[in-house]
Amino acid sequence: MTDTNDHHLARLMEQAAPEPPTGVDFGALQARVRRRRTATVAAMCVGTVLTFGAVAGIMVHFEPKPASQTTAPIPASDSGSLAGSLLLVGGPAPGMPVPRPGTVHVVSSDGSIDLTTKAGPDGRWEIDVPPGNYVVRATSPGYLSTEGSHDACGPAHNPVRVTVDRQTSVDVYCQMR
Amino acid sequence: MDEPEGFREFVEARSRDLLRSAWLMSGDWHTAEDLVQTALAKSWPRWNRLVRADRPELYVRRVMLTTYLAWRKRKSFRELPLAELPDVDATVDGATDMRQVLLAAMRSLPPRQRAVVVLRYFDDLTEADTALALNCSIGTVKTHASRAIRTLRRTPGLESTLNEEAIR
Repeated sequence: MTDTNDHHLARLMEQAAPEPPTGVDFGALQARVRRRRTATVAAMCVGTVLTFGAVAGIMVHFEPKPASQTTAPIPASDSGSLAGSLLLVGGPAPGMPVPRPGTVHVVSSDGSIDLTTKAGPDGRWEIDVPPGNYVVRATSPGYLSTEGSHDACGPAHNPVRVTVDRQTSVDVYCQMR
Repeated sequence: MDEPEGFREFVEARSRDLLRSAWLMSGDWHTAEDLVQTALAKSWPRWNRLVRADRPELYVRRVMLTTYLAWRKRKSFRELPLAELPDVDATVDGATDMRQVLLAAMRSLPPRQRAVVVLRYFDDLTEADTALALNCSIGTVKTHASRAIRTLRRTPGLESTLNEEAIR
């Protein structure tokens, strides 16, 4: 690879990487820092409780407790989340995907969980759900379907897998004909 | 938690470039923003030390890369195949085609090779800084870069362009 080619590749990459729709949301960043701090403190508390619990358990020689006094475990986060953007794409003169407000509909593969959430004017949406596989659909006002008809827009792949403590990214597309 | 001095200014000045790098690696804006926010959130508590060490951005990029590579290992991480992406540009001209070809070729690279290409040719880091960001040796960076470039040059459309430039 010559220096000229290095330069040309760098120029191509500069052209290929679009400008981000927005910069980093500093408020969201501050909230994330607070959540990380809280999670760290909570983990330390759990560790302390477990340590004390183990010591206390040894000291009382596993003395049985009445059922009503059974210590409930400190609940850990048992959900994951889905998040992404609702985007209008295609059409007679396709251009950049356009963020759309709307309603995103999330249904677990066994049908036991059926939730909706709103996509804002910037198309962004997020929803916390238990781990599992989900079919994601959406509708956007004015696009083919009316509010409540959730089958018009969808992601590139369905179903989508959600795991514990992990945010799965899913962009949902409303394809213009 | 107190905001470290200069942190907000750094975010305002550099976040768009960080987002573009993250987009080149991940292929979608949501993951890119998640990556950048994660890297910045992890850097926040160490910011004063990073500034004293004079290389805060390199550390942020390093966290961003290690986070990206860790996410890629998880089964839940899903990347949109380019063939199923919607049209992203209204114009159909040579430049657009070339960008699409480059992005498709980038998408076909293994994650670490893709990261090296982004760091070396988009972020314009030296081999030494790329090695620092990826926590590997300079030799490994050279190997990844060489393999990635070989793949890119074999990509129909890119090869002729790169060679054209070499001839001039």
